[in-house]
This record gives sequence, C-alpha cells and structure tokens, in this order.
Amino acid sequence: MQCDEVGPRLDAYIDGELAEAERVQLRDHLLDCPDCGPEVTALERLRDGIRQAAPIYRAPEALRSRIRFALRQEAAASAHQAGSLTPPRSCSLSSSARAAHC
Amino acid sequence: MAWIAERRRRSRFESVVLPHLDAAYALARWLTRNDADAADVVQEALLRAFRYFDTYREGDAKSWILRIVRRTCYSWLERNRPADVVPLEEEDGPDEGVASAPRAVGDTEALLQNRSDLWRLDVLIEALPAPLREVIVLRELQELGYREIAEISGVPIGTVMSRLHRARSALRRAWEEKDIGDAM
Repeated sequence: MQCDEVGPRLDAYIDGELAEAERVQLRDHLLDCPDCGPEVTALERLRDGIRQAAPIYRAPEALRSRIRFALRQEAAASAHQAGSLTPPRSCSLSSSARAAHC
Repeated sequence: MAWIAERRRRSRFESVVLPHLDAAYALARWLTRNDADAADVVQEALLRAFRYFDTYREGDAKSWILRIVRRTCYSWLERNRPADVVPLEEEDGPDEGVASAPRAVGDTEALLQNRSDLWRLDVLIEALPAPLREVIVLRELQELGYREIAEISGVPIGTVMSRLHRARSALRRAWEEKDIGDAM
C-alpha cells in the first residue's frame, strides 16, 4: 500500500472498521512508513480530545414527561378515532382486574 | 377495544423507544445547537415515530429512532434556519470516496478558520457543517459503527468514511493550529 492510498482508510483503521485483509495491509504500511505512522497517533489523540471535550447531552426530565403526556394524548386521539369515545371502566382498575374484565 | 389496544401500543412504544431518548436528544442538540429547539424536535420526532410505529419491525430500535430524529432535525432546520442546511461542497460518491475525499477538506477548514471563537474542540465541532457534525457525533459520541451511521444518515458506507475523514481532518488542523498558536 502507498501513502496516497491511505486517506480515509486510516480513519476506518482506528475505528476497527476495515476488513481483515485490508487491516493487515495497512498495519504493515504503518510499521514501515515514517509519515503515516504518526498520523494514527494524531487521530487517536483527536478522538480522545473530542470525547473529553464534548459535553454529554441528556434529555431533560421535563422533556421526558412532556413526551409521555403527548403520547397519552396521541393514543387517546387514535382510540377516539377508532370509535372508542371513553376509556373502558376497566382501565381505572388494577391490571389483574382489567385483564379479567377484558 | 380500541382504547386497550392503543394503551398497549403506547406502552410497547415507550419500552422500545424511551431507552434511547438521551441519544435522540443528544443528536438533536448537536444538530440544532440549542436546548429548547432540540427538545421540540425530539418531541415532534417521537410523535411521528409513534404514528408510524406499526411499520417498525423488531431490530435496531436506536438506529430506527435516530433516523427519524435526524430527518426531523433537517426538516426543522430547513423551515427555521435554512442557512444551517447548506449542502456539502462536492460530495464523494460511494465508489470514489476513498480516493477523492481529501480534496474537499480545505473548504471546511476555511470555514473553521473564519471563526475567531474556535478555541475548544466542542466549539469546533459545533462549527462544522451539519452533515460532518452529524457523523462525528454518531461515531465519536454515540460510538456507532459505520453501518449503523450509514443507515441513520441514509448514505452509503463509503460516504460515511469520507465524511468522517473530512470532519476529522478539518478538526485536527484547526485544533493543532490553535495548540501551536497557544504555545507561541
């Protein structure tokens, strides 16, 4: 393998996404090449930097509640359209009582 | 018993989808770059997913919901911030991605260098064009494989590879230049 063939393959190499034969070919090239070898270290350093620097975004609890509420409304609207105007009386019962009722 | 059926459907949807809510929100947050907008987009996406839940087949629920969130994000951006949805300069096709990807890196680098506030990697990521930001987030932060990323983004694996290469090259150059500048 030549340096000009490395390109995005180097990214796939550090991501463990290359097929075995190509991985071995690239690994052999990296062992011999004074230019491409350090590229791997630099890419790994970037990857570590990104994982350390990037904030971890988590869904706020308020959003979770909002979605559950919206889903209940959506389900109710679908049931309504399907012809069931009100929840059956059994829906306010315990699950075992509901199962027996339905 | 439509009511009971809907209740079961909702319950199943919640058990399949809600475990991936953090991932969905994170993707939307990175793409919209705003907390409130991300929340609106995720809610819209999940309601859309619920409406079409009958078409969901058992499988990778995370990829399924992220694909819907991503699509909803882009629709939202097109409606509200069309300037954020500029197409990538000359996208490589799946067959030529490996050989020709490096030629387009310069444009993204120029975009990063035109900003004076880019001194942290997270800010650098936010400044990337959306398709490159998306692939970095899915790979580095969600730690997804190329096949999953391709499925979520609706592009061939070769395009995932070339986008990742472009994004990393641009980030690396801007980040290293900052390091050098700091050291001087």
